[in-house]
Amino acid sequence: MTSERPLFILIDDDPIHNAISSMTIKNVIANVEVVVFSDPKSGLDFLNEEFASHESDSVVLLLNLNMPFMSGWEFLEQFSGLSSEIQERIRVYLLSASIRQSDQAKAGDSKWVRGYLIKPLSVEGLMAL
Amino acid sequence: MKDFVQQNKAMGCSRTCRFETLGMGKTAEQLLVHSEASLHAMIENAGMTIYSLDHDFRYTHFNSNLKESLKKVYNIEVKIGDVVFDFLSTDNPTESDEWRSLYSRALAGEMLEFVKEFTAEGYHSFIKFYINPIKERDEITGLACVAIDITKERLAEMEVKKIADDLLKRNHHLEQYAYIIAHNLRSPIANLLGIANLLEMPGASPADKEEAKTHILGAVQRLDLVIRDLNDILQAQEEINQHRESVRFESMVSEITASIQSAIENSGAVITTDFLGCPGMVTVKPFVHSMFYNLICNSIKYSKPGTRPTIRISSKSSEGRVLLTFEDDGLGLDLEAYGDKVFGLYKRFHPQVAEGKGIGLFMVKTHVEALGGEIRIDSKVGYGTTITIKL
Repeated sequence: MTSERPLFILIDDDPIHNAISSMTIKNVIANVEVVVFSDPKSGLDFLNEEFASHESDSVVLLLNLNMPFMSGWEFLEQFSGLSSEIQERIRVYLLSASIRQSDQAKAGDSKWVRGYLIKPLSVEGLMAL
Repeated sequence: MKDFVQQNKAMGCSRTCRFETLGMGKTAEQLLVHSEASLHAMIENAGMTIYSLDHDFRYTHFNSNLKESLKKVYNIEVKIGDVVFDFLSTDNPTESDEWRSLYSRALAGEMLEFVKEFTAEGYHSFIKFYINPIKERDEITGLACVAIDITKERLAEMEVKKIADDLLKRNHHLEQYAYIIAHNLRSPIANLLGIANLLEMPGASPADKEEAKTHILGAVQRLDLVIRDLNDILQAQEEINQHRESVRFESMVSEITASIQSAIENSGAVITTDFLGCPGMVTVKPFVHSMFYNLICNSIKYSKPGTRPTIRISSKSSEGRVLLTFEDDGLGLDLEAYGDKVFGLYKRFHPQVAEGKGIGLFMVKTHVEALGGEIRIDSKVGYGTTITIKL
C-alpha cells in the first residue's frame, strides 16, 4: 500500500539549514514528512533499513555537498551501491551553498542527481522540484 | 703566411702534407694553408672551448678559450702534448679517473654529450661538453672536444622553474580560497538569507518566525569563524618574510601544556619528550607553535575513550634538517580510506568525537609547507598515529 504523503529526506551537517529547510518545506507542501540527518552515514543507514517499510511514493532527497565526515559526492558513490528499488523511489537534488560552476557541472555528470539547488532553499525552488 | 705558421705551431699542428700542383694556378700547399687558416680562425672565434686529443689523451690542438679557462679554474699553463687529466691526478684523483673513463668511452666510438659543474673564485658554472671520436678511414685516431659555458641559460632555466613552482603553489592556494569562499563562507550567508526569507514568508507561523530568529546569532558566529579561519590560513601561507628566532622544543612543549592544562588533567594525558638529538632550531616560532599545539591537541582529543593518552615527541638532526616525530596511542585513522583527505580543510574523521572543526591538520600542513618542510602521517585504526615533520 502506497501513501500519497510526500517524504523529504534532508542530509546536511548544518543544523540551521536543516531547520530553515524543514520549515520552508512544511510551509509550502501540505501534509509532508521531513526526516533530517546531520551525517550522511546515518542517512544511508536509514535508506538501507527503515526506508524499505516506508510507504511514500513521492520521495525527495536534498543532499548537501560540503560536509566534514562524508561529502555529498561520497554519499552519491555509496548511493550507487544501493538496490535499484531504493534508487528508483528517490529523486535526489543537491542543495549546496556553493555557487561554483564546477560543482554544478559535476552535479550534472552524476547519474543520480536531478538538479542543483543553491542555498537557501526557496519557495520557488521547492515548487519547481 | 708567417703568422699562420706561428699560430699553427701554437695549435700544435703536426700534420705532414704532400704538395701537388693543382689547376687554376694554386698549389695544393696554398689551398691547404688557406683552409687551415680559415679553420683556425673559426676555432678561435667560435666563442667556445675547442680541443682535440690523441689516443693517449694528449692535447693535439686547443684554442685560447681552453688555455684561459684552465688558467682561471685550475691555475695551470696547458701545453700541446700534455695529458688532459694529468693535472687533476694528485689533487683530485676521482675527477681524473672520471675524465679518463669518459674519454676512453669516446675513443671506443661513443659520442658523448654531458654537463659538468665547476666552481672557481666563488663563481659556479655549468659547462656542456661534446666529445666525439675523430675517424680516419673507419679508424678512431683521436677525439674532437667542444665545451660551451651554459651557466647563463642554466641559471635562467632554474629561475623559470622556481617561478613556475611558485605560481603553481599560489594557484593551488587560490583554488583553496575559491573553494572556501564558495562553500564555507557562503554557507552562513545562505543561513541568514534563509532566515530572512522565512521572516518575510506570508504563510509562516509566528512560532516558525521565532525559531528562525534564534538562529541568527549562530549563523553570524559561524560567518565570523570562517572569516577568522580564512585570515589564519592567509597568514600561514604568506612567504617567509616572517621574523625568525631561536626556538627550544622543550620550552615550547611546556608553554603549550601550561595553556591547555585542564584538557591534559581531564584526559590524564602523559607527554614524554626526547629533544636530545636536536634541542631546537631557528625558525618562525608561531608556525612551529601551531604544529606542536595542533598535534598535541589532536592526540588528546582523539585518544581511546577510557584510556590515558600517551604522547611521545622527539627530535633529531638528519642531513642538515630537523626531524620532529609526534607519536600517540589514540584512535588512529584509516589512511587507506581517507588518504590525502586527512590534511584537507574542514574534513573530520571521528564522528564519535564532538569536538573538532576540521582545521587542525590542515593548518599543520600549511605551516610545515610555508617553512619549506614536508609532513607524513602513519596511522592504524585502534593503535595510534605518528606524524613526522621534516623541516
